[in-house]
Amino acid sequence: MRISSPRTGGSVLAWTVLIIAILSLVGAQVMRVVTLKYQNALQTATWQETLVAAESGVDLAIVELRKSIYPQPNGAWDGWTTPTPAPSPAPSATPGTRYGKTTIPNAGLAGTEMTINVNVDAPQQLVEPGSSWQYYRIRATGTMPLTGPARVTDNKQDTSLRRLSLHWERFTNGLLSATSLAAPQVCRRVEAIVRPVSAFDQAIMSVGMLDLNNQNIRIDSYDSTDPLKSTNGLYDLAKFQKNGNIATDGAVIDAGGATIWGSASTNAGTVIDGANVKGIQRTDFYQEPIPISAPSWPSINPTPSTVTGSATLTASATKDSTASRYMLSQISISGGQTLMLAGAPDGSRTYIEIYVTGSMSVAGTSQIVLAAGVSATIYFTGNVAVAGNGMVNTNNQPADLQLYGIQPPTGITQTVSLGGNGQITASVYAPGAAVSVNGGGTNGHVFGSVVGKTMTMTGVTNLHYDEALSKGGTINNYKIVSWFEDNR
Amino acid sequence: MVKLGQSTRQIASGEDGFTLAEFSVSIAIFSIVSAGLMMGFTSLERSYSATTAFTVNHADQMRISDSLAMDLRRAVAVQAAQNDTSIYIPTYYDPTDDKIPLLPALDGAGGTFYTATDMTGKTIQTGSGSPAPTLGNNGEYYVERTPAPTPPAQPAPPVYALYGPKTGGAWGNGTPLSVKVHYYLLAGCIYRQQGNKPPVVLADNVQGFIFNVTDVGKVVNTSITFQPKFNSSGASAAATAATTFYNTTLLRNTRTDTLSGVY
Repeated sequence: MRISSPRTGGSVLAWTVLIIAILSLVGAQVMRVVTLKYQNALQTATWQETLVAAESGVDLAIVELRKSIYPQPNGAWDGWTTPTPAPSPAPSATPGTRYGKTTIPNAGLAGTEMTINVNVDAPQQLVEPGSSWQYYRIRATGTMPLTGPARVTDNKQDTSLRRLSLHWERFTNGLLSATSLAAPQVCRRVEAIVRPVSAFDQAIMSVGMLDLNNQNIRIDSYDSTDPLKSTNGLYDLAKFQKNGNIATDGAVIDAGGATIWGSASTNAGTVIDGANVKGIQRTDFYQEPIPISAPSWPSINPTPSTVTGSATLTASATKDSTASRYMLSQISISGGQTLMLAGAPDGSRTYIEIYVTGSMSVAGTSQIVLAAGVSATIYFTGNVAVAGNGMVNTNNQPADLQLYGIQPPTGITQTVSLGGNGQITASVYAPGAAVSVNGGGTNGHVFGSVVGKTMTMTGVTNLHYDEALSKGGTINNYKIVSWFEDNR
Repeated sequence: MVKLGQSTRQIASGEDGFTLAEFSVSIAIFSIVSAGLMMGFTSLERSYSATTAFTVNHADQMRISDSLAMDLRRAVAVQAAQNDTSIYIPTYYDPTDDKIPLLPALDGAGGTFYTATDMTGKTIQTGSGSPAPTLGNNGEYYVERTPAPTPPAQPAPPVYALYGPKTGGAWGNGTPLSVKVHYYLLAGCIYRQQGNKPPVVLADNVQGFIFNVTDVGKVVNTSITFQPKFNSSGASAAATAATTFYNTTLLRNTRTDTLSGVY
C-alpha cells in the first residue's frame, strides 16, 4: 500500500501560490503602467481638444463682428451678454465687453462637451488714429472635463507643459485667481486681436468674372502716405510697389497677359493667360461682398434735390454734419456742364456726402470736379455712366473720392461705366454692379481701387492701387492680427 | 506488525527516499522548467522594458511636439535648424512678473504689439532697420521689424523692437517686443529656454532623438524621431524611421522676420 506524503502536497501548493503571486505582481505592475499611460494619453488628448474649443470662441466672436458690418437688422451679438457690473475701466466703444457661453458636443472624445467663454472688448489704445478704426480684443477660454481621477501623470514634464486643473482652476472670470473645482478639467485661454479690413483691400476685386482681356494692362501699387513709395503723395513709377493684388470670389480671372505686380487670387479657380502675374497665384480667396445699405441721415441740405445742369455743392468742415450731406434724385450733366463739389477757399479739409437715389450720368465733356481739400463720398442706387475725364479729383487722392453702390434688389444688376482716355482718381465699391473701366491709350491711368460684381477693364493701360486705401473706407471684414495663447 | 526481512527504513512511514536516478531526473526536469521560466521571464522583462521605453519615448515625442506647436502658433519669427530651433513669441507678459499681461498697442502699420506703456494717442511708426535720427518727432515711437539675413549671410536673429519716445532728437535703445524661445538638444536632454530664464528640461535621456523644424513660411513642419531599443544590437534604420512623429503648425501671427510679412 502506497501512502502519500503530506509534505509533497504542501510543496505544490506553495509553488502554486508563489507563481500566482509573481504573476499577480507582474500583472499589477503592467496594469499600473498601462493605466498611467492611458491616463496620460487621455489627458493629452483632452488638453489638445481644449485648444479647439478656445479657438472656436475666437471664431464665434469674429462671426459676430462680421455680422455687425451688414446693414441692420443684422442680428449681431444676439444672445450675448454684457457682464454686470460693467468692467472698469468701461470699454471705449461698442461692442463693449461681451461674454458668450456656448456648450457644444464634441465628437472627438466620446462626446465630451466643450464649454466656451468669450470676452470681446474695445480698448481705447486699439483705436487707429487716422481712420478711427477700432480693433477688438477677443479673449476666449475653452474648457473640457477630464475623465478619470484627479491625478497627475507620472511625468512632471508633462505636468509642467499641459496645465491641468485637477482641484483648482487658475482663472476666475478672466482674472488669475484660483477657484476650487468639484471635478477635474482642462482650461486653455487664447487672446486674439482683430482689425477691420477695408473694402478697398485689393486693387481689383470682383464677386464674379474679372476680365482684363483687352489690352496689355499694367497693375501695380504705391502708398500715398509713404514718401518711400510715392512722391508728394502721388504715384511715382520709380517707386512702384508690388501689391497690386487682384482677386475674385469666382473661379476665373482672365488676365489677358496683363502685367500684374501683385497676386492673382481665385476661389478654387484659374487665372487664364496669367504668365505676367508677378506675384503668387492663389486659389483660396473668398471675401464676402458686404452689401451697402442706403444712408439713413437725420437731416440733410434741403437743396438741391436734383442736378441736371451745372451746379455747385458745398462741402462742410464738419464731417457727418447736416451741411455736409445732400440727397439727389439724379445727377445728369452733359456738354460742358460742371458739377462742382466746392470746399473751403484755402483748400483746408472739408467733407461732403451725396446720396443719389437715381442714376448718375456725366456725358460728353461734362465733369464732376472735386475742389481742393474736399473729401467726397457718393452713394448711388441706379446706374453710373461717366465719360472720359468726367471726374476730376483735384487732390489726386483716391481716398478723397469714394463711390459706393447701394445693393440693388435681387435679380437686378447695376452698371457702372467709368470712361478712360485720361485719368481717374477714385475708389469704387459696388459689389452689386457690373463695373467696366473703359478708355485707354498711353495716358489711361486709374489711381485707386475697384470692387464690383463683375469687373471688366477695356483698353485701360494702367491701374495703380493706392495701398493707403486699405487703412480707410468702409469696413468689409475683420481679420486676426495678433494671436497668443495665455498659458499662465 | 513487522515482517521479517524488511528494513526498518522501508517500514517507517514518511521516510521514503529517492534513488539517485530519480533525483537526477527530477533535478534535470526542474532545471529545464526553471530555465524555461527564467528565459520566459527574461524575455517578458525585456519586452516590457522595451515597450515601456518606447512608450516613454513616444510620450517625450508628443510633449516636444506639443511644446513646439504651442510656441509656433503664437510665433512672430522662426529660425529653424536640426536639434536647435529658436522661436520668437510676443512679449505678452511683464518681463518683471510673468503673471501680469502687458497692454496691446497698434504699430501704425496694421499690426499690434504688447507693451507696458499705454500707447493711447501716441504716434507710432513702423519700419525695417533702426530709426534714423531724422525720422519722426520728439515724443513719437518707432517699431523696428528687421528680418534675419537670408543665407549664406551669417545667421542673426530678426529684430522686433520698440524705440521711443524720441527725446531730444534721439531714439535711444530699442526694447525687444518678442522673446526668444530656444529649443536644443544637449547631453541627452532636450531643453526649452525662454528668454533669459533657466532652461527647462523638456525630455531627458533622449540621446537618440532628432527633432527637425522646417520653415515653410505660413506653416512650420516639425518631425521628431527616436531610436527604439528592442534588441541589444540597436534599431534598424527602418524601425527608427517608423518612429517619426510629424506635425504641421499654422502660424497665427503676422511674421516679423520676412519682408512679405507672410499674411
